[in-house]
Amino acid sequence: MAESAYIISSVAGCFYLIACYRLLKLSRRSGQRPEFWLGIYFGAAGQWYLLYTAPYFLGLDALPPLTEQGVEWTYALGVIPYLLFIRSTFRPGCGWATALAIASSLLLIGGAAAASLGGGFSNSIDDLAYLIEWTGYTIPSIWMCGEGFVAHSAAQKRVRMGLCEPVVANRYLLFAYFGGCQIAACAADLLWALENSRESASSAFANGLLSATEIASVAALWLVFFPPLAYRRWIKHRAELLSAPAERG
Amino acid sequence: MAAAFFDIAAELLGERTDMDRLAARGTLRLALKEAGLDVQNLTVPQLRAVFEKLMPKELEARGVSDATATCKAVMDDIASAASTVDLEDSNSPDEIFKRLGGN
Repeated sequence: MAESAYIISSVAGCFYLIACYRLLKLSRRSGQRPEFWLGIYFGAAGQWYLLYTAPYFLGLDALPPLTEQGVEWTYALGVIPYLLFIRSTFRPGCGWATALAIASSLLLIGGAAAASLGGGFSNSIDDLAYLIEWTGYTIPSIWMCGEGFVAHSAAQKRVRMGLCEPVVANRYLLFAYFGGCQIAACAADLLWALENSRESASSAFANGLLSATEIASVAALWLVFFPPLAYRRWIKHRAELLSAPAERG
Repeated sequence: MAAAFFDIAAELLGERTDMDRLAARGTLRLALKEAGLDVQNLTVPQLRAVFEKLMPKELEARGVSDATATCKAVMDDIASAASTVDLEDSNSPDEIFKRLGGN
């Protein structure tokens, strides 16, 4: 990875840990599970980014094997609560959603287990364990992106009826963007794996794609979790402008 | 409970109009879709808005006489049927995403 990619990834890791803390605090206050699940996911993602970039900043070659196993397993298991969040929020009691969440969880656990038993985690397209786990963490990103866009479309109608706050409708869109950015990050990861299998250095394109998706992901989540007053006002004002012609009609 | 609100509303709509069960449910479903609402997460305030703003037009299009009064009567019936139920759904997607931003 390029130096800038390390810095951006570690900043993203810090942000995910802050989001984790905020969501777990919210969950303790509300007593609700969705924010708890989302908090666990961001915690797992945050530790992954920070620990994987740590060797670069500490001047080490790589993480010790046992630490690497712990980081990978924590991330793999941490994506499962994200699947629970998507399923319980958008498709509660839906058969196909339950099946998809279970299938994705099995891929995550199966991929991590195969890597652990097969001598460690690699980032190579020739490694079946990597591909299994990659599929397991790409599914929730695609799912979140799709659900976000569908929910935003329906929420916009509710906004026009006065049944949904514009800023809430906007959060569906921001989460769809976050899902989209994570899909692009998964694509960058796959590109790296392809380059690793050819024993070539990671390309500037893969580095740039990962950095850009992380910046965009953090920006989208920042607007969800810490929306500035000016942004909330702008969203509300825009919704009023969009609703006005319909009300006049 | 949310899906039950839909069942109750569709049944009351059928009773107050000449529509059969299928037509009443279909008409209500169309209005909910137009409002961007999901049967699984339906609340009484949302139903009220649909019956106030969208259903009169839908019923008129289906030849129901005095559609506005019919909608009001159905809504009154729903309100009394739902008065004993806890209407707050803290895990509807809107409520969850509202909490995420801290408001």
